[in-house]
Amino acid sequence: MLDIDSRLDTRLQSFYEHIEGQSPPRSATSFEAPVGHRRRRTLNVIAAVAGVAVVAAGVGVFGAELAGHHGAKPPAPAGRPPDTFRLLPPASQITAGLPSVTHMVIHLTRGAGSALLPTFTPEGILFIVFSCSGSGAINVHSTNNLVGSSVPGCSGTGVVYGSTVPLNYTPAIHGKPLSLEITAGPSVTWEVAVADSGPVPPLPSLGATTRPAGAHVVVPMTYGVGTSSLETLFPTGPYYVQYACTGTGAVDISASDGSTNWVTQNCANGAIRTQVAAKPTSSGPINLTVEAAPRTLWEAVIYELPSPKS
Amino acid sequence: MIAAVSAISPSGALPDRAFEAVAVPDARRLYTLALSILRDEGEAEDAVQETLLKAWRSWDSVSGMEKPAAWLTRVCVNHCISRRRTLRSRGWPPLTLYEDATSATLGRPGVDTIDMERAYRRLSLKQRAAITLNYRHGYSVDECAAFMGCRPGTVRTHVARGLATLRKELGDA
Repeated sequence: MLDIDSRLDTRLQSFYEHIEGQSPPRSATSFEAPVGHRRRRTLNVIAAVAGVAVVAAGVGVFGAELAGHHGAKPPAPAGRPPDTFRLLPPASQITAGLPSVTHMVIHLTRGAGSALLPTFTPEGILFIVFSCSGSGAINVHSTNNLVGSSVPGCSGTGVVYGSTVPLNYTPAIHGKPLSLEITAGPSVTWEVAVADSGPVPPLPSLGATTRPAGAHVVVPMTYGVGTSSLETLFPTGPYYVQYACTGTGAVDISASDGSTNWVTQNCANGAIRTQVAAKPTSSGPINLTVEAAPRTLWEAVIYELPSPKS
Repeated sequence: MIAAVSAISPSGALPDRAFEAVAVPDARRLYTLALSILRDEGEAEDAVQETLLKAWRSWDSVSGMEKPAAWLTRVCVNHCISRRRTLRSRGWPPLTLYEDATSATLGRPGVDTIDMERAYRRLSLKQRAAITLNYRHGYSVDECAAFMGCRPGTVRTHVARGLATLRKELGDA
């Protein structure tokens, strides 16, 4: 166990979270098999042949597996390895953004093409995270089409997509078995995981009743885990940011024009805050960024109040 | 037609041990690890590519290992901590570049992070590796020693001295 004081512990954690939040360049997460510049030519040729054989065998097995499922031809020829391997994020990246208060209802699952995931019963806030690689779209949706999320083009750059189904989602899906289905072309590989917050909502409710009468919502309720941006707003006067958070870290909300910066140091017990920003000096758009630890869950809504009648 | 799929085992072991399925998906994890140690994106990228290249060339033996990910980690860490001479000859990446990034909307580091960055750069690469592996990634001292190619006592020393330097640089000592 490391002997480390809490202040340094917090700062180090924040520092590493910042590093881990940086997206690697595509060239860092892909690998092109070498074709030249061999120093020990004979040995390397043997190694390359072995490597090619291993990859070809892998591709062959994978293709055969797919053919068994789909009754179609394998997606890639088994004669040579692909020139560039397109990557999915590793498991730790896919699930790293999930709040610590959740439990997995579908553990990390990897596949290609269309698939049916195991049925589960949602109890709380549902977090669906997935990543895909290959050419084409992917659609992750329930078989009853009540919830779903789609990506028009899989980049293969390690982007993790996520969607959240809140407790008050309508039509109601909670307490009833739910089956998720993935629809994608056979060349699209994917990873998916689903987590559930459990029956007790980990976030304080930011329902409409918590806002003053006449409040005009300018940025709808947004859920997030870790650092993310809210929708752009064009404030016409003072605007109010109402947010709740839960998790192990702090939440820091800042505006692109530098006019606001609010920090809630401790979200552990589920904090609710409402902050008001002064009327902006310029009429331009404002973007609000919510910075939070990867395992801190938050929701935020921005509203304006009608001007007082003179 | 829809096919049922099976989950990856909790240990992370994949049934298909081909290079594409085992080594390459680890690239992002390796990149983060290398970036934590080197604090230079280009050098981190090089470290990952060198690691994957070594894995590719040694795939015959690596593919038969029980934990290829551990082998990849060891190669990557060793590559990082042997980069001292190259980095010193090129000079550390200028901090101003990092500070410029504070104007970006996303991923903006706070003042604390910048202070920590300055302090962290005072650490040796071995101290960074030891703290990153032990503190951040949760590897035991023995595992860190295996990754770094040194004795467990040396890892403890690197961690203790690294943390002491951080406290001093941050004014917490």
